[in-house]
Amino acid sequence: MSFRLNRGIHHDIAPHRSYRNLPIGAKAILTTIPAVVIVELLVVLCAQWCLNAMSNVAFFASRYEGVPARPFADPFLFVTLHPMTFDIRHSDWLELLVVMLVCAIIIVGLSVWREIAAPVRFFINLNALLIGGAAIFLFLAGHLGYDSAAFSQLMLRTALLTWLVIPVFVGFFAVLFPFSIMERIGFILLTVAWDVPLSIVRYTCFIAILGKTGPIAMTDLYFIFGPLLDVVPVVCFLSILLVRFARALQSQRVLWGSE
Amino acid sequence: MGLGIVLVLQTWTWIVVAIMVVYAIRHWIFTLNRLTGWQRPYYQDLLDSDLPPVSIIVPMRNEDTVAAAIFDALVASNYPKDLIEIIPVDDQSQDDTTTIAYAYSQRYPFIKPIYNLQGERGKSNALNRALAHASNEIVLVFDADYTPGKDLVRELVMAFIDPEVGAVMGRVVPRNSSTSFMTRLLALERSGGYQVDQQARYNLDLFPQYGGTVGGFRRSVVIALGGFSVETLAEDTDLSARLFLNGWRISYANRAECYEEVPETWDARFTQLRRWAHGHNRAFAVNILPLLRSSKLSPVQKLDAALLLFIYCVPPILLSGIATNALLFFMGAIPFFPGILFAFFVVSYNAMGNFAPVFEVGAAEVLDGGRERLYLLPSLFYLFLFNSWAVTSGAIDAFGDFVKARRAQWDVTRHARQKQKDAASA
Repeated sequence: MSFRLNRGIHHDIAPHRSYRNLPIGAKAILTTIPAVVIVELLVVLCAQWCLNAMSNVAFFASRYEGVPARPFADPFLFVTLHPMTFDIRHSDWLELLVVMLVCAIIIVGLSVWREIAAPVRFFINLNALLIGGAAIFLFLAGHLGYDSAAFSQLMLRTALLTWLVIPVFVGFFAVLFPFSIMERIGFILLTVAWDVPLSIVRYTCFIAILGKTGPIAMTDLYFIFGPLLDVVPVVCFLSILLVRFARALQSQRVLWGSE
Repeated sequence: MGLGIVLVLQTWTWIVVAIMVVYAIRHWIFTLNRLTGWQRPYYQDLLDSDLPPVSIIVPMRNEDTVAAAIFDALVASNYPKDLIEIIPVDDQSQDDTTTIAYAYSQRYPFIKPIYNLQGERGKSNALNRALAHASNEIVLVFDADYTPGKDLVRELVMAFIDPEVGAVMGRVVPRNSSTSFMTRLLALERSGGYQVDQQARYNLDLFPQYGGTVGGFRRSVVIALGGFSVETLAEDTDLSARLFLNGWRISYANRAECYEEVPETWDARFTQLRRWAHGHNRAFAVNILPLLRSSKLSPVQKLDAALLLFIYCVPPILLSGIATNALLFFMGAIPFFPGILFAFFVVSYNAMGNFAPVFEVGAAEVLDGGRERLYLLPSLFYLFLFNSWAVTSGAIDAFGDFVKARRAQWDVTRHARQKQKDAASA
């Protein structure tokens, strides 16, 4: 990393932190855009293979778990997905009532019992609300809007779009900081590369869980452990890279004045 | 009927996503500006020996654990003492605050406490009372749990050299950030909000906000505007909006740092956020139309003012978006482009869930010279639901008060030293 330019009020005096800024120019944009394009191309080239891996692993895992599954072809954008129909256990009205009751007890209980940190309580309550809400809907309507095939299709489509969106999204992060070209490509590539095995493992787990528990957990799984979970590693990678970057900055005495 | 409901819910989803995208772009522009753009110098870089007299108001209610600290800090200020008057406003304290204020006034004649023994309580009332007693044109305000440094008064006062400046705001830095995981996360939030957000708004000549403490204003201007509104719990936001409406500028002094004690318990933080949301939404309801119609503001300033005033409406909208999407999922009608949901979560988490998005907080920490603290960035997700619900709760309160024409009740944030004292006496 090179930091020739100190953009503080005087070039020869280390600026107070309130005046600091970073030497980012057209170079950051000019290196980020090709980096994003390269990674997008890689995603397009590898998407079919990764999605096949996702379907195959989930299919074999469901067979191993004793959940009968039947794949089918689904052309989507530039790939052919292989979602599958799998057996989801049926929940009877008594089970639904029990789930509703348990969720209500959890929500009320955590509102009264405040020994657990508030964010954890709210997170548990959100899960309970989604599961309880699904149970109520199932109780009233008899079924959720998504059956196993539609859910499987939704998961695969979401995974593909997530891989396509991540490089652009991470590019917006990367352009803000004066990373080197290799760091930029590494950052963008790593976030997508991480997301592929995450998507495979998650999809497999979801099918195994739904096969055992029934559709009650479907909404919760998709909302809490679906796309939301893809964002967390992005931020983790950003934080690791920023720590590295901040350490490098600290060693630039002229820039930060740490004589 | 069913199709109509689905259409309405899907439209609402798109609206929520659009709002999140707008805020994400806004914060991205701010971050880019703060990191790479020209930094508008503050007035402290001007040499001036002709210091104006200044009144410093310290609203206090049950502050006996912190009162002496702020008096000591203000007495130690290097501002000429013959140009200072300190006005502690004792707002019906039931502890030793009154005694402490009186004792300091006996030792230092420039400390002139006033006592609200039976009138209406609340910060706005306290400030209005103090304004009536203040004898100087320049007025600074510090909450009792803040610790101003020796140069701070001078740094803040310098802004008023500019006759266009109606108010000034300094930077708030938590001093108890290392107390717990929670305070560390709050310190990250503060860092993003001040180091990047406020400074960028100041750089871009948008709508930097007077924050009610570690700041000041011209007494004559505030009196001419009718004083502080007692209807709102966010008298600072309300004043900021009214100053802008009347053509005054608010200056931001990023270098004028003052230490504060952030809440150390979730309950205290919840109460604080709820109060802010209540007051801020009230200020939004009252000021948004006049701001949008104002002939004194440019279109960009109007847009920024609207986005700033709307900011505490976003978490309720975000939660409604989650509920809407859950309903759509139950009905099997998540919008065709499933990526929308991803974008929804991505943008909401990163743009608004924590008031300052992760890239903004990261940039602020880098500028502040933070290193290992940056590892905590992913932990901001921990605050996401908490903040959203606390703000939503305040917004519901504000709506309830508005509908029932009730006056909001002021609830002071309880800081750690008060709790320690309560525990010791128990």
